[in-house]
Amino acid sequence: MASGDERALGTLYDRWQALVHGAIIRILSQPDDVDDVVEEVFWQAWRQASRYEATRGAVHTWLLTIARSRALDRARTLLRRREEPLDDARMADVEVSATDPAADVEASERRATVLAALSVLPPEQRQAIELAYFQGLSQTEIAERTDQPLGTVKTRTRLAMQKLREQLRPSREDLR
Amino acid sequence: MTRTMTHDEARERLEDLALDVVDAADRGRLLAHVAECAICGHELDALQRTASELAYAVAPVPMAAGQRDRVRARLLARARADVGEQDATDVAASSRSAPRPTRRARISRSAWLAAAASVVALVSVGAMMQMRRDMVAEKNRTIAALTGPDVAVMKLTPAAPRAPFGMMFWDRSRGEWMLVAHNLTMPRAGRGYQLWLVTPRTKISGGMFMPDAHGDAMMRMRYPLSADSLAALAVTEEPSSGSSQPTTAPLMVAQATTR
Repeated sequence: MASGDERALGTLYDRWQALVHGAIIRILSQPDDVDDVVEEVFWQAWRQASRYEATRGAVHTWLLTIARSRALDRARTLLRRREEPLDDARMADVEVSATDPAADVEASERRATVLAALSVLPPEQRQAIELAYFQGLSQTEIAERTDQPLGTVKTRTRLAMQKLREQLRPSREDLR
Repeated sequence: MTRTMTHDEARERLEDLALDVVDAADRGRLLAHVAECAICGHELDALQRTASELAYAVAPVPMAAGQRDRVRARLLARARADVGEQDATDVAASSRSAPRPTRRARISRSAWLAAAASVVALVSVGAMMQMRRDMVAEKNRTIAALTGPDVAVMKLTPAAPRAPFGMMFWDRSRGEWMLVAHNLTMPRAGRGYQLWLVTPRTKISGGMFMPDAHGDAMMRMRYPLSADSLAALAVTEEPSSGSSQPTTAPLMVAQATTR
């Protein structure tokens, strides 16, 4: 794709659209917004293919990072425009027991690993991570949302990340 | 003057930085420390890898067939046009017996061609038509969009010589925006440029963009906004994940115009 072959883009899209789409609808709900952001994720991948470094992670990790960034960017724009809070209905806990339709074995295995790592976190730490990662809330906003002191939110976030790092270290090292 | 962050203070905030939940005021101080501290740099890298894994917590959800095909068609059309632009540039370059440019250089030159076409289009419909004959399909589409009956053009002026400047083309009926900017310096690591649509009530993020190696940038987006809502445009430097409101002084500004 870095050499400008649009067929490679089609292949990339066909293989990973479900994963990218899943990540985006976790953050956005309007179909038109979702369509636009899915397109922008793969377009950014196309334009920045030469910057992708395989040594820094799998291609689907790269796509998911782009997807989260673009979706949060759109969500923030929509939030300001509508001047209403994020939809709490989209803040439900991660579905640990959900079935996984992913065709790609590696992505499926990594999902299972991440869900397992999240499932062993205390609920309040998991909530802090979810609000930060999937809703893009700052720590101040998380403190307001959860009615907890800012220092408590910082501690929860830090402890959760340390645990996740330990839990996920083996899966990352498998890639090397 | 902002106090420098100590190593211990920075170390305590690296998890937050990796999750991108640090308030804007602290982000700059944190990044400044990380840039100087190899230990924190290594630690942040590892934590960012952990954070990136979190996206896998979400189940893949295939798009509906019609939705999937529609997005795929749009995407590949853009890619084909992108390749076409590069090919057109290659032909022009080879006719001058110039060395074959790298892909990055070709993209940059394509962007320049599109920008040049856009400016000429504002001056002369005749010149625009001649240019359209020479351009590939995507550029044709771009130019047509830029010269539509409801397109407003705003010039973002530099604050000093050699400072960034640009043009915004706003198709109000379609809600499509295209920014072409030049003289941009490459932002520091972890930062980028953010476009703002300024209304009397708020500043709306238009998204992030980065310049190429030549300091040029072209950005397109879609955002519906009533024609009388826009007061001004601005571009600021922000964390690469974007800010909810501008945190730095604008590099470029433009007052809204109706034409």
